[in-house]
Amino acid sequence: MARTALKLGVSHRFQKVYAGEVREAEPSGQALLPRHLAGIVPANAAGRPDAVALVGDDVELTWADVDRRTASIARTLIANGVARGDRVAVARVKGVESFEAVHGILRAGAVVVPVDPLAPPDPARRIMRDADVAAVIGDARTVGPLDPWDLVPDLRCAITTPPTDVRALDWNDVVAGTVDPSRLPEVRPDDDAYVIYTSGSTGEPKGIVHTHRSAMAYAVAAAECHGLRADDRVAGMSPLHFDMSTLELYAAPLAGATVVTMSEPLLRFPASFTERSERERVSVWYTVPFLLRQVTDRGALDRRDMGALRLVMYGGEPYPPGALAELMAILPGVEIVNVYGPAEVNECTYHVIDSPPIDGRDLPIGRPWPPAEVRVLDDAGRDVEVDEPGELWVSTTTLMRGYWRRPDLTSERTMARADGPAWYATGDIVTRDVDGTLWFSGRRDHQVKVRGVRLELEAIESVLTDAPGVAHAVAGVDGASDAAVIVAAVVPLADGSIDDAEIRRWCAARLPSVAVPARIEIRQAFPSTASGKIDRRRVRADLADRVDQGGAT
Amino acid sequence: MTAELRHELLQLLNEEITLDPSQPIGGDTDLLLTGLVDSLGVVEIVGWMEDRLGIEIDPVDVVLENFRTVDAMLAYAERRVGVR
Repeated sequence: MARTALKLGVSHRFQKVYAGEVREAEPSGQALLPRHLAGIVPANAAGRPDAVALVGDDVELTWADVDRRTASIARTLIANGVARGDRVAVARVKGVESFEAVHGILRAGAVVVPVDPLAPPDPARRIMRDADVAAVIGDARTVGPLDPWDLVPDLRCAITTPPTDVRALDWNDVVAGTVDPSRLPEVRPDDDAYVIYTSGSTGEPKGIVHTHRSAMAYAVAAAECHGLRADDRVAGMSPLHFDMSTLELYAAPLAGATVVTMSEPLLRFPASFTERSERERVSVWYTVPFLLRQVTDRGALDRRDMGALRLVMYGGEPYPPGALAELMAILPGVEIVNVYGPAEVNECTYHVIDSPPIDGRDLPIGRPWPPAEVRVLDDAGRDVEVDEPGELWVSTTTLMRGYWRRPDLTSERTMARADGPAWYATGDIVTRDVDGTLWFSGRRDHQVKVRGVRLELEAIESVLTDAPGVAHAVAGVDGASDAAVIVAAVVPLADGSIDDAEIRRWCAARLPSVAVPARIEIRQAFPSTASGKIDRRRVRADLADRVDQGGAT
Repeated sequence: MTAELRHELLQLLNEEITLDPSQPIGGDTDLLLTGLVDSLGVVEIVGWMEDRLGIEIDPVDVVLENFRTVDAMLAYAERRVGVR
């Protein structure tokens, strides 16, 4: 019985429900859903041990392999003194090993703390200190510079490839071990599962803590809502320290799908990424518009057979409508879905884009997905009218437990509710139309005033990005108070020439005059954040800097 | 020609493109795993090579194997200029 139900996978069961084949979710299937993230790998190993779980650069691992290897990681952590609830840092370039490290830590009852393996060591060390980690797993190249033994004097263990020094354990020895998985500790749904760090408003690390329950609620809903299937091959393309990785780490394997890992270096080459997607018959991409725009621009898609690709989900930032139309033209027949949700809830709304945007119209973030209930509130906490802007609040089972050791911040952004999960204030400004569809209109904190007129920088960027020859654009403010003007930086398309006067004319035809950039700088490329989004903060700071240096024209 | 190009590429990488000037880049340094070059850097290198060699680089050639190290870039450049 267990076997059959698992073979169906979560989404197949759901599809049958929708197709009327069964009236409701089969109780037996329901019972088989693991109650916590640590149960995902063992459930697959029990139901379909020989199916391929992970495809790495030069290796394929079955669920039985991954089960054995992650159990051994868990056992090693425990044997070295990592206790239930201890935090364990993962500093590893993406591959089968990063997936296994995460699931090994979870099976030990410990808490995953991913750090960017390619960033300078200082931010990672700050995160490891803040999270008070007990152990670290990674490559020697990334763990070495973190100097974990110096950072954490009573570090229980470091597992690296190859060993950084005599105190470190060799990853290859660890995963080669055989252990009895029944001896692993019981994980409870309300235990902490992972901490994802973001930068706080003043630049300090801010840890978002998800429990097994909240992360599992996300994984189940994502697998069902987006129809992930056991025969899917999902690109593992999000950095571990970025919340989008929860799809490939938890939702995809929950559905029994295979994860095809894409390393960070590979992702810097759009043509390499599309080549690997083609060769490995990848069926699902989930990433940021920034990366998809590189793929359409330089991914040589005209010479790739992307026939296996059926679903592309994007999130993290708005997709410029003109560029999205281009993506849809290049990938006909592929379902494109805009997913919206801060890391605090993982996902909140989604919108299936059934036809390309026309006339540069923006796209909605869609409607709340099944686990979420939303409200759009004004500053006084009252529900706003249809089409009126307000802050988006969400009450959902996928809500984080809170910010790591920051009860002040947690209570600032969340509000308990007697009849459901707590409310979370997203800080995002949205409008809700008569159909109940939500439209993102900016961040509370990105609103600017120019000559008394309130402007949203994102709206200006959206117009700029659709101007002829423009690939990416960032708008900022230059000068203070009444001298303030909108300025912008743009990156041309790979094959295009660009004319700033022409772009200004384009904007003038589409924006109120105060919103037309007074100066447009042409850049070769924009810096990106660790998670692959355009580093708008840095570009804006740079744009503002030039004024301070007397560069105003 | 190759020695000259190699010198110039190393100079470009070490002085302008690197994200961490404290780590010297050599011909066989894995630029991507070390995190010394990001996607922005790749775009710059490709643009520089196009100008320097007077060639157009097809996006399909901008792959990991051709740009992972300076040595790989040189091998690619030689193939391209040779073919031309």
